[in-house]
Amino acid sequence: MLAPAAIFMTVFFAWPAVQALLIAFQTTQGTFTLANFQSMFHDTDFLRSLGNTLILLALIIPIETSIALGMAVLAQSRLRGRSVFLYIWSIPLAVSDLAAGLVWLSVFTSHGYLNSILQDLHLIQHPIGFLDYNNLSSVVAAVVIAEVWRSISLVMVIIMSGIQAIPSELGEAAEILGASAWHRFWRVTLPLLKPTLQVALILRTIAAFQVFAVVLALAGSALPVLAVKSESWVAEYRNFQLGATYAVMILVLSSLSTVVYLGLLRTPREVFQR
Amino acid sequence: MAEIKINSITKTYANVAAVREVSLTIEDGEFMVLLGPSGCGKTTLLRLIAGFEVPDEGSVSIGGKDVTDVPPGRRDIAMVFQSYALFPHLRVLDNIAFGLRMHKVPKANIGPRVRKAAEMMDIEPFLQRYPSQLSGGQRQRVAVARALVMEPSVILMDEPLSNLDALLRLQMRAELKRLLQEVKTTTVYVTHDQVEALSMGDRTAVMRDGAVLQCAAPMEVYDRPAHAFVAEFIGSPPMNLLPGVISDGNSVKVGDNQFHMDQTEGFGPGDQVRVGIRAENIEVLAQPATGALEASVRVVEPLGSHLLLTLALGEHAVKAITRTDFPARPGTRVWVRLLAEHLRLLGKGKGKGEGTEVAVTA
Amino acid sequence: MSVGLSRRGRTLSPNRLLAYSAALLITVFMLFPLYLIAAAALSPRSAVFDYPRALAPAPASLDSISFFLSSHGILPALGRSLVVGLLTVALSLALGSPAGYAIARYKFAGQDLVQLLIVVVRAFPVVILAIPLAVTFINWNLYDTVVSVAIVHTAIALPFTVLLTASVFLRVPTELEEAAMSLGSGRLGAVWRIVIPLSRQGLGAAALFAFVLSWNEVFAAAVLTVRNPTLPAQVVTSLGQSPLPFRFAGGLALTIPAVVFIFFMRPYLFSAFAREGR
Repeated sequence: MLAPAAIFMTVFFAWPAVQALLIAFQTTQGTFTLANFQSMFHDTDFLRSLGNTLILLALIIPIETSIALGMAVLAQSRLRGRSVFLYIWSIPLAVSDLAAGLVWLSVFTSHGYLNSILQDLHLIQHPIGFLDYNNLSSVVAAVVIAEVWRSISLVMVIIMSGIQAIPSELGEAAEILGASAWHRFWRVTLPLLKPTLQVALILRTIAAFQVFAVVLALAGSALPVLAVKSESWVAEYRNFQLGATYAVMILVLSSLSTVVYLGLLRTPREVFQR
Repeated sequence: MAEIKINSITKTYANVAAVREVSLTIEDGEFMVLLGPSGCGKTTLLRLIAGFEVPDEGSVSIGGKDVTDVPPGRRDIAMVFQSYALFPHLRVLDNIAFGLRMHKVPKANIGPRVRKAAEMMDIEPFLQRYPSQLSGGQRQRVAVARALVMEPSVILMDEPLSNLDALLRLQMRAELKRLLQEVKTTTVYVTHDQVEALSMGDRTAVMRDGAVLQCAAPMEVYDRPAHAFVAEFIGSPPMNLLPGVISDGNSVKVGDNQFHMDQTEGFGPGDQVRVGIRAENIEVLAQPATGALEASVRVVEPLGSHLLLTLALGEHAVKAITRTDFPARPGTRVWVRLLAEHLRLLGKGKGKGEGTEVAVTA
Repeated sequence: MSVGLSRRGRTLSPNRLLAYSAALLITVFMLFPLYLIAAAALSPRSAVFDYPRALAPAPASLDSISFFLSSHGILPALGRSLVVGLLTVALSLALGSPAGYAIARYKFAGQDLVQLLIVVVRAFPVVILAIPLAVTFINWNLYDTVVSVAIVHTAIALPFTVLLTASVFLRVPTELEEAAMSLGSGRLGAVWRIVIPLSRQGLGAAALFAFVLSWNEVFAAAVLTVRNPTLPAQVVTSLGQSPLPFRFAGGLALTIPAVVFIFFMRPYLFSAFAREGR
């Protein structure tokens, strides 16, 4: 019963993954070469796209993880109307990165809602070009906000399921031993959430290395990132070698980050045995 | 050490009263057992004392201080949870020290106090281990040590032995009793196991449907149940209940047989009652004798130390205990003598002393 | 963690007030942009350069939406998106639910490994698949077709489908199946007569999940198509040349299914998105 799925995944997942490596390390004639990597490193946009990707990631991941933690705690507490909150907070789970980019485009574009509100409040005289290529920091901010908005729901849901797996007696035991809500969060909830956070961080970091349509929708070519470069080498220039090389670069960075998280957030094995 | 006063407390969930107008005073140093079937409100009552639940009506005071609005951490109580609730990410040592640290006990005192608690519970060798590396019994000991180390005025225990296997439970039962006698801390102990209730407590409060039906010393509860439900819930086998009518003065009629009682406890002639008698207070004879009623054996269950017989007495089923060499087989005719000084009268119908309907046909 | 317990729930403690304010603030952050894209898409095309923009379009108009829908290639792309979505649903259920059933019902060697692989696949950067598959599909004459896109989407959706269907089948007690078999039904018959009817809702959720995943996917769809893009691929490749009303209408068209989808998926959100979090 597993066989059909396994065969399908081998042909359309494992094999292309290997092939991507082959394409990146081969000439069009099929001989081994590092030329693709050389041309990638010499690509004028390579360092910029790598840098932008890393900057976005360094902003998005901590911001969304900490807010999502707060949201998960709020959603677990005995607030009235929490099911309504939870529904609204989950909507972006199903919003595509492209749609999220377009949603926030209506906010940040020069004649968009943000400028309109600021103007109505007489805080500015002229619209600000938040998405202009010479306003790089506000472009980055816009992409970060849109990407956090889109992916925070996923992080929240993962963390919530982790919190739910912590027996409520542990909180009660800490409470009766005199721990304040703050202490209970830091001394009990958070340490026990470590494996959950590890999963959320790995998934989200790998996804953030592939940030694509949000950037395209908001910044166009003003903010080159790795995934956009990969796609444009294939779609625009029909250069599969270079496209695959960029993709391999993303794979390498994703694997590295996973190893780092696994090392940083190690918990003694004994703790989570049953 | 402190006295607990529960004053007409009520707690309702979704319109169902989990605890209704319960008043109970637990003396300083007393070991009080809350006993009842699941859903009777005993755990809710314990959580109201702990402060995890806030009562809709009524108040709780500990040591003469009204704590109804005091959060759990400041009630000077400790609790042992059914699941033990040990923190899996902390070593045993840090689990026991957790409460002391939360109460900002000076560092120099923490070590000795933890060691003393660990010594009392015999868990010194495990202080550096994680809870997952301990057996169920050892975890139980850590949970108790974590409560004892706080030297609280009150210890609350929520079915602490129910996750242990039978043999260990027996052993821990005696040990907990000795320990709590030693520290003389007021204890409230929730259980659904009537053997624990009888063997451990100074007093037992039997609960049903959110109310305390009877609160008295264990043997009193066993021997003189105030309520048909108590009679049937406590003791194995449960007390036999036979329908009867109070006849003149000090006697009660069961079927055609008249029994003389010392007193009829507030019942008057003509009242419908239930007559209760424990299985061990029924004498089973192989031969007819004066005052003995004829019965026939339905089921014979050898229980090691004695035989448990189910007898058909007229149209009623009655449980009786006899010695193992008694010649009984299904269908055997026997004669039984109900020891009149052990007959108990319980009310029938609504109101106080009401009981569940017993199946009386064998 | 409980936030500030207040006696008998009558008074609002400062902690609770803070919690409500935070919850409200987050809700506004999540909801307001959705309102704005709707407002932008429902403004007439002529209003797009109005500045400052009114926060409420008055009067609301379907002008931008109909402009978007009548733009070149949009309707065919919408049709292709539907076809790709349905193909993805069919493929991923056909391949994934037997695997989910096996994981839910049988103990087999390497079971942990399978579960681990599913999570690894889930975490794998999908970007890397699209390009080699494009090369393969060119060789197979499948490039730039709905089938090729559906295959990639199935590869992405399959780990979810397996996990989701496994958790759905786990909810059907084995005893029910065994009871059916003890009454003379074969295993397949038991699955068909007992397990599937009882799991209908969960399987529906898995199907919906695969559909939305496909409906939303941009990167692979953009790499694998040229003249026959799906809706998101069409929108993303024409972003550079398209006027703002087109983009806003496109944004709304892509967002509405999400809102509806989450509404129906509420009971399954946890098993779908959070299995690895435990």
